[in-house]
Amino acid sequence: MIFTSFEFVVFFAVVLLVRSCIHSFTVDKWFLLVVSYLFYMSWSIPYASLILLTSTVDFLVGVGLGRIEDQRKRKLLLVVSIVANLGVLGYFKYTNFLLDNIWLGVTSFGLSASHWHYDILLPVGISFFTFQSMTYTIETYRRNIQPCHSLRDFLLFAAFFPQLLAGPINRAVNLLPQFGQHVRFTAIDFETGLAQFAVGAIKKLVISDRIAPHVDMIFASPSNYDGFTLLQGLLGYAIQIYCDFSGYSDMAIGAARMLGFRFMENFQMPYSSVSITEFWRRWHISLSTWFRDYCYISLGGNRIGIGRTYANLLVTMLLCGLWHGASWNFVFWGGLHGVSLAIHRAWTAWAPLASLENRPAFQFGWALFSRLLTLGVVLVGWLFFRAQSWPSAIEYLSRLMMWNLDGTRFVSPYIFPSLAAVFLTHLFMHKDRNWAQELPQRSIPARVASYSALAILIVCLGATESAPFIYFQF
Amino acid sequence: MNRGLQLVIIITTVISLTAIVSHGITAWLRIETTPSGYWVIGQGEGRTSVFMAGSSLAGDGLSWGRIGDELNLTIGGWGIAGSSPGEWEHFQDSVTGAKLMILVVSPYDLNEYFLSDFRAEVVPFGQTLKDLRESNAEWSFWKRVLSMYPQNYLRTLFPSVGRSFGVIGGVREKFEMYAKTFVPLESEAGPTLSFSETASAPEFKREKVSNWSPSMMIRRLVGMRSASQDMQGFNGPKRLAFLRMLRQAQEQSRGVVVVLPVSPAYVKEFMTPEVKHEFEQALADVRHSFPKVQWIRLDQLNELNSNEYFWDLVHMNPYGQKIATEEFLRQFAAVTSRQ
Repeated sequence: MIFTSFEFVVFFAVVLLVRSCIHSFTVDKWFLLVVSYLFYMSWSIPYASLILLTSTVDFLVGVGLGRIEDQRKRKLLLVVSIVANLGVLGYFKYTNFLLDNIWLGVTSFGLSASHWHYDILLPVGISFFTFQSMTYTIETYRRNIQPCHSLRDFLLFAAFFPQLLAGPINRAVNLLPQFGQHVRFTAIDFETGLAQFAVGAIKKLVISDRIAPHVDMIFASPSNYDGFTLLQGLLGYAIQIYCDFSGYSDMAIGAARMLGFRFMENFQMPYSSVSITEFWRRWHISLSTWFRDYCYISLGGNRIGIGRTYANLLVTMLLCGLWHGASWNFVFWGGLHGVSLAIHRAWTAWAPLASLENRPAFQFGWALFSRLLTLGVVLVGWLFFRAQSWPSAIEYLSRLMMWNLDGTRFVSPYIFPSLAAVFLTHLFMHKDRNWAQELPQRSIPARVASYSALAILIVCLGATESAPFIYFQF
Repeated sequence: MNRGLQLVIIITTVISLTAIVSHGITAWLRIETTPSGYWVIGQGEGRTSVFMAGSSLAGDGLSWGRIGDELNLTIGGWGIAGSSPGEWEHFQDSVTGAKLMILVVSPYDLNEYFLSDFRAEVVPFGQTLKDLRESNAEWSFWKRVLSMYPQNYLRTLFPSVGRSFGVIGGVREKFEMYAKTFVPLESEAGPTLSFSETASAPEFKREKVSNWSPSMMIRRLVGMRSASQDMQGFNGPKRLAFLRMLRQAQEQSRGVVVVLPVSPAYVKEFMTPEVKHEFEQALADVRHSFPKVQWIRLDQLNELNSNEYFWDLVHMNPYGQKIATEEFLRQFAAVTSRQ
């Protein structure tokens, strides 16, 4: 059941309707818990037990952390939670990757070995719900939040359906307290949520789903196409993944808001960033801040010297790459971003052009150059992220860089209009404002005009047979 | 005014405005929003009555006017764009007095994963459930087919829902028409269907796939792949409907199945050896179940094995239609003489 399906519309309407009839706070939470598990079971019934298992372990660890004062035992409890979550994640996501690489390593030394490979089906959303659950135990260990004493509330926090499959990865400190107070949805919450949901649906149905078949085709056989087509495919993928994932996030945030809950924002016009550091403050914010708070800072952050700072950045981004998928392509993607972040940090510290910063012409030129450079790094990263294999990525990149003319030129009728739409949005909209959330504050005619435009776009240009979201595979 | 009342007013106004625009756009772009129209060719005294069931491929692939005249037939049927046996069977009962039933199929029509835009309007919900259960369809296919029913209700208010390709293609056509650089893009504007006695085909149907640029070819192949979700299969609700139609034809009248070819470009892209085998196996099973039904395999005609004879990936142009019609008449005569 994906957000853009009829099933979800019916499911969500029933949830809203039933909730409006429930007056008891306790019953309301039980109801949300049951529908959240039903929502997950529409994907996989057996794997619902996995969420139950990891959540129960984390709940018990949290209770233990609240009772125990001995630091050594507290650390041990935290290790139990991390091992349980990362163990489950590791088994389902990385077992075959590990076995393949061990086999490759052994055979490259000329030794013979059996190639073990297991048929393991990746539970949808596993990378998200395990990471979200860990925010609770880590924050409880750090004494930033009080342990949760209601198993029901904690299970709801871990499995709340709008964010269950692909985030945003909400922090326990933000979301858990919302289950402790009687949240009722109000008209303004409903309107704000609906507007954000509609914006997300347009990103997914009108842009991402339209260009996806063309992008897929170009990436499937890059050797068939000329440089222009390959550039188009790469730009198309940058738009596709942005509209797909930020569209999903908007829908998740919107759905939660309609129910009266507030999630953290996940995207803020990332392609308008003037540095790779800024890009990561605007792209998949819930994940980047997770890695910053629980990985980078835990490794020492920038407190142990310059060398360690750069090493920490690199390790964090390599792990971030690996989080996305069990493939060297993702590791390289993470590494590229890690190196870029380190270079940007070094450049900012060095500041060789500081004396020119007050000149308007320099400011304009530098901002343009910085944007293009950031976009260039991001695009190269996307190439490795999207390519089906390492050789395919290298081939794509080399043909693109050499601007080969010997392949077929394909002009997609959807990629360039989508590119123009996203470019203009990034150019003219203020990058720190959330248009969807501001709309309900406007006058009635302005709201009618805006919502009508959104609705017309959906009913006239929206795809009805929507493809699954890209981030479901992670 | 309180926020709740404001919201009710806003939502009502937005729905009304959107419905008006949706109706306006479908009318302006002439997007097909009704499923069928009865057509009849070659009416006259002493002619044999024939029920023809087929999609737009049948309309373009054979000259029904010529067939009617040469064989002294009155041919009638219901035209539903992008249709298949699943839709045709619901009109079979409406035909009275037909002495012959001609079913025109192709690997495109019989592919279970191509769904007619009008399926939910024609096929009862109960029948769909029964067929999906009987054919052991995958859950994703169940969802895809069943979601067409609520969409159908939604279309009463917003007829453009699910017809975005028609909207996009139609808008392009309009712009190009205004810019005086009109290049027909009929197949991009959505499925169309015409059965007529006259041989005059519109300009876009005189095109040849062999003249397409590589970019055009890729675009059309991608569109076709998306429409079928890149899947090919011949054992599902369409097959069950096909069997039911032939059963009824065998009981009530004489049945002839015509298998039309698709373009070599389509075959190269979608008809892998496994798919071809599955298609042939499906036809063989049907043939085995109804041995009295006559078969005319125009898809096995070498002469038509060229992109020259198709105006898009599956529809024949008048040049292909001429060859196919002649071969149909020849084989039909042979079938009749054997009886």
